[in-house]
Order: sequence, then C-alpha cells, then structure tokens
Amino acid sequence: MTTIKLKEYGAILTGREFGQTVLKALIGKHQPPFELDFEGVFSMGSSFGDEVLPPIAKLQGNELQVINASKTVQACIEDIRVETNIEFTFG
Amino acid sequence: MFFSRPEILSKISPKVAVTKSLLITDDAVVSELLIDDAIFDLRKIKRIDPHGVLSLLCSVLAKAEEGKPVRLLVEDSFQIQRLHSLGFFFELERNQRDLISWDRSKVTGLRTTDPDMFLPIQYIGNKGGERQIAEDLVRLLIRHGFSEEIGARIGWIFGELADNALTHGKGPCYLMCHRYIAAKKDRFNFLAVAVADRGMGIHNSLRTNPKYSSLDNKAALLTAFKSSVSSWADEFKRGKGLTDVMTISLGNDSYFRVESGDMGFSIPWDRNAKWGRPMCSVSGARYSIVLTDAEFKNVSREDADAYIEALLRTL
Repeated sequence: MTTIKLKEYGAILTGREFGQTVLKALIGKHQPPFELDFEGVFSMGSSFGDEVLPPIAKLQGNELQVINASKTVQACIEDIRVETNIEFTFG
Repeated sequence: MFFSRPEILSKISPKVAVTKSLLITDDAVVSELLIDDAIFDLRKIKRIDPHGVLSLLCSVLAKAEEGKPVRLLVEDSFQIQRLHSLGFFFELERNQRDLISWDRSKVTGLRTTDPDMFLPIQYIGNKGGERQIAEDLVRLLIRHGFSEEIGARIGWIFGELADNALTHGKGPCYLMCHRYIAAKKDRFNFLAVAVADRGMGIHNSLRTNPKYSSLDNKAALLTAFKSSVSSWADEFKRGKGLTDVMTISLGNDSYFRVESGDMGFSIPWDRNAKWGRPMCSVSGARYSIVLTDAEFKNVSREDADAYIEALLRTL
C-alpha cells in the first residue's frame, strides 16, 4: 500500500484541472493500491475530489482508504461516496 | 490677513450627506452614488463591507468600459482611506488608469489599516490563483482565534466560486474576507466573504446549455444551485460547485446573498429567502456569505436541492 501525502500538493485542494494534474502525477510516480493521507490539508473541493478519488478507487476495486481527513475534507468525501458508491475506510 | 470670497469658498469643503451603507444586509445600491452619468460620489458612503466594495468596483469598471471618462468624488475621510487600504484605487489604476480619475492627493500616502479586514481585494486572473490566497487566509484566521473549520470552508467556497468564474464566466474574479459584526443570539466571530466576477452572469451562463435555455431569469439563477446542473452538458458531470456553496451556507445558518446581473437574491439568517434589489446591476455574478465560527452541520446535496426546489415553486 502506497501512502500518498496530499499536503504536498497544497493545503487547499480545489479546481478540476488541478485535480487532473495531481492524478497524473500520482499515477505516474506511484504504484497502486493507494492510501490517501490528508494530514495538513484544510479542505478539498468536490471538483478536485471528483478528478482524483474515483479514478484511484477504480484502480483498486472501488475501495479507498483515507487517513487524517478533517471534518471539512470528510464532508466532501461523503458527497463523493453518495454519488459513486466507493467504499471508503477512514483511519 | 484677509481672504476673498472665492478663496474662502475654496477652503470650505462642500458638505456631503453621508448616508449610504453599502452592506450585504442593507438595501442601498451603488447607483445611488451616481450623481451624473459617469460621476460616482464616494463621499456619500457611510459604511461599506466586502459585498459593497466589490459591487462598487465592478460598477466603476463597467462604466469605464462603456468608453466614457469616469470621475470619482473623494475626500480625505475614513471610508475613502479604507477603500484605499483595501486596494480599491489600485485595482482601478491597474484596469482603467486612463479612463477613471479622482483627486489622487486625497488618497495617497499612508494607508489606514483595518484590523478586521483579513483579505483585501484579491484579483484572481488564473485558475488556481485562489489556492495560495485561501491557504494563507486560513492560517491568518487560525492565528486570530478562528477555528480551522471556518477557514477550511471558506477555502472550499473560494475554490468553487473562483473556478466557476474562470470556467463559466470566462473571466477573472475578485475575493475578499472581513470580520463582520452582527448582533445575533449566541453567536459571535462572523466572517463575511465576497466573490465577484464580471462575466455573463449565472443565469445567462446556465442558459447556454440547451437543456436550460427556456428558463426565465429567476428560474435559471435558482436552478444553477441545484446539483448536477451546469452550463456544460451532462456527460461532463459538472454542476456541483454552487450546490456545495449552498450546503456550506445552509449548514452554518449563514447569511447568503447572490446577485447575477440585475437580479438579487438572499437567504437571511431566518432562512426566509427573498428577492431584492441587487447592490449593482452590471453583468456578472456577486456572492456574499456571512459565516459564523460555529458548528458546520453537514447538509446533503439532496437537502440543498429540496430547498431550491421549494423556492422554485414560489416563482
């Protein structure tokens, strides 16, 4: 399991194009399965989340482990879960 | 020493009635400052908040873009100096230096500082430009005793609305954030955030999607806040940003105001949404939200959609 520290990309993760850029960078650099570490991330917008989380979950059986997500980040992830039925595990 | 009448008159400042409060919660409008076709009397401003500042800025810029010389009447007063400290005159200079004039001797020199202004006028011209600004703002808010959560939600709001302006409005936008004083039971530490752009407006943008082209102005403005509704076709799966802004606002029981062109719509503290006069009527979108540093309840997109649906039924 590769742990991805998302704070490397900023503490505010918003923007669809930025999400696409981050996804490309992640997949280019690391091998799945991934675990997403949100330590140091204040918030994530749904446009960014839509571009990053579902494609990663798709690579690993529609499952995704998330750690250190703030309440605000969790609120965004909940919207993605409702829409995509990804099975999220929070640690 | 004796002075002639003209000399005496030149030393007496004309008395201007300071009456206009350009605040998110008030009904005064920018056009009340227009004393001639292209003369704005800024000396009339009694109070002004981010919603007023960005509405005024967009109005002056729009007037200059009509190609006429625009004149601003200013004086060495607290409110004018405050506008100066927010970067208002700097932004006008940057945009339309040759077409907009004012007595620069009144607004030069040391800028007054306003400890409640956490984010003066920020120009966002490129996608993603808001992220570092929002990040710095969250850290500043935390240092001033605000919770990380309110900063994080503001970062989310800025991200969605700036992205919207640059994607659908096809142009730059402005951001601001100010501590807001309001009398509200059991609540304190309010923050007013404002975002404005000079694009085509929310309703016009939505109607570029053939699916929504038959909606009237008000219905188009409200419908744009429903989830999965966008000026882009369904296959792109867009249309969540405005819904997210609505869920954050409803979850915080905040004061919310949106204007699109010449339409204004607000959701006051009591949630009794109402249509009203926009602070200005120039093309573009203007959003203001007064958030409380209190609990943010999770409001689902489904709940937000139901709220908007109920409002649509009243049209």
